[in-house]
Amino acid sequence: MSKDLEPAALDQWYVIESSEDLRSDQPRRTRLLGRPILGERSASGTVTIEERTEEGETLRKLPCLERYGYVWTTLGAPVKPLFDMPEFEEDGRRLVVCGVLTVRTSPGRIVENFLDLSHFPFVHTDILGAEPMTEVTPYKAKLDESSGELWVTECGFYQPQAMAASSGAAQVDYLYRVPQPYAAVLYKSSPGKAGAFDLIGIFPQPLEETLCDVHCFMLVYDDVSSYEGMLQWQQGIFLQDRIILENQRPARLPLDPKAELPSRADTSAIQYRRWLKNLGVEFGVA
Amino acid sequence: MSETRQDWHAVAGMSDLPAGTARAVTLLGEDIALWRGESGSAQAWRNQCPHRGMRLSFGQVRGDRLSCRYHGWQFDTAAQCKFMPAHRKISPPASVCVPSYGCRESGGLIWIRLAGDGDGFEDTAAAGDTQADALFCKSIFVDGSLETLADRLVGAYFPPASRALEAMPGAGFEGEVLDHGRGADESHAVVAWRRRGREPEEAFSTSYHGMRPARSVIRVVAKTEDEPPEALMLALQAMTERRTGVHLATQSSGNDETDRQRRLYFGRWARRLRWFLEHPEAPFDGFRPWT
Ligand code: FES
Ligand SMILES: [Fe+2]
Repeated sequence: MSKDLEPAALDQWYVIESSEDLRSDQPRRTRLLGRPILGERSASGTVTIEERTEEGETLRKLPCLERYGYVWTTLGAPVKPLFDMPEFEEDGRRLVVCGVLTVRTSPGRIVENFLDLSHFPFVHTDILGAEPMTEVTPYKAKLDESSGELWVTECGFYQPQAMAASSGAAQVDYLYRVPQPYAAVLYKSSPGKAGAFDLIGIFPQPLEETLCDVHCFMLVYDDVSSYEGMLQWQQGIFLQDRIILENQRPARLPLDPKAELPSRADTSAIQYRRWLKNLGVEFGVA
Repeated sequence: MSETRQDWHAVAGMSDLPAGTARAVTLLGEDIALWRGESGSAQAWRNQCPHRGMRLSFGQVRGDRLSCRYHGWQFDTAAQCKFMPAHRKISPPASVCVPSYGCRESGGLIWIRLAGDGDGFEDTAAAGDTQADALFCKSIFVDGSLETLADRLVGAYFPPASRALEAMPGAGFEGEVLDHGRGADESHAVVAWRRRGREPEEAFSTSYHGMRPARSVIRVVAKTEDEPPEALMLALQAMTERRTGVHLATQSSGNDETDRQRRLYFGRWARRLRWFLEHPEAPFDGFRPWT
């Protein structure tokens, strides 16, 4: 029997597959929050998603959306529509759907790592950071009361190879948007268009509490890099993070402020954990 | 298993932890980071960084500090955080440290205990009498609990080093096991055997040391009159309820080439031992060490 889940986990929107990979000849049998899910596309293109029993019988049809290059569903009744990303309407951007990476940890650890600046020189050495430029300058992390989203702003970091299209090291501006507990998007200075931001987003699909399929996209101003080049750059970064993520103990994200010792550079993580606690998230946390 | 947390357990060979390296070991279900600074002795810590829980065994040894793989926090040999790269000018508060375990090196092996301080090691069997001239040979990891494996080892016999050498291919050695059995108190086993062209003799005995957990250290001492006693030590490591490490050490000959051959020989023998331990149906005869 699937255990009772709290609304804070149930009522989020989750990606279960990219639109291009959910083909009519290729249903997606997967899991979401520990429950079996089947996603299908009919010959005419309509997507249906259902929750199933462990034995494979249909339990119920689930809501389904196709947006931002992905297929979305929910097991609950979200009070808000799927978050809006107006950048997808902007001319001149390229969408790169990076594919799925399975990671043995909780969605909270994945999002927190995504918001983390101080690991760049050590985990993404000579790409997103390099010693001795390890200082994390003060930045802001704040829950936006009107939208109910967490925003991390005024971040900057010295990066040797900030994006696939970067021609050299640069001081890069960052901001992060966490529209719901288990989804995150970052905005960073675009090497392809002065003054503009490139987007990188992650949508962890929690299969179980400590097992996720992470869907990742880039939405960039980049006329020079090949699709393969961008994909390789992003996958390289994610594989470096996976080594970390799968070796953190415990795998569930500890919400007790005394469980782990943050420094000032972890302001985003402190706010993120506090937010999850206030929302009553239990799935994937310790 | 709680009382055994007070005991000393072998977890690795000293030479399997060179200076400047870190690795993970499991003892009584606990994940432990083992590392050695450029100049220092082995350190055993909880394998979890206090910052964001990263396993410290993935860390990088920098001089006599261990630097966490995730954000580069540096810990000194007192397990105290000395440097946080994200705040280069701030000295970390004393409260930022890693729980550490007692850790000693003796008999070619690294020993740790999970509870209590680092004292009392000298009184245990682990300190042993092979300390000065020990030669670590090999570690094997076997499915089964320590209790099961220790049972299986009762009555088993082990080759003392000099015989092992005679047994090297082409050495012209041949022997025959006549009998083997257990001592009356079950604490040792005796093997009677005959060398080619000689009278039967009691070649060596196996003793199970009285240290806790029971039978976790097994010593084999050669008992022949014409040679100095030689010893082989098997130290058992209860990794989990279902998996056990066996660390083999013998005596050094004082000669590098001979030691290399001993290590080679016992390494091969250890692989046979593992096979024997993992096949409960295998007859005891199935691992005559000199074949
Ligand atoms: S987890 Fe070790 S330094 Fe951050
Ligand atoms: Fe990263």
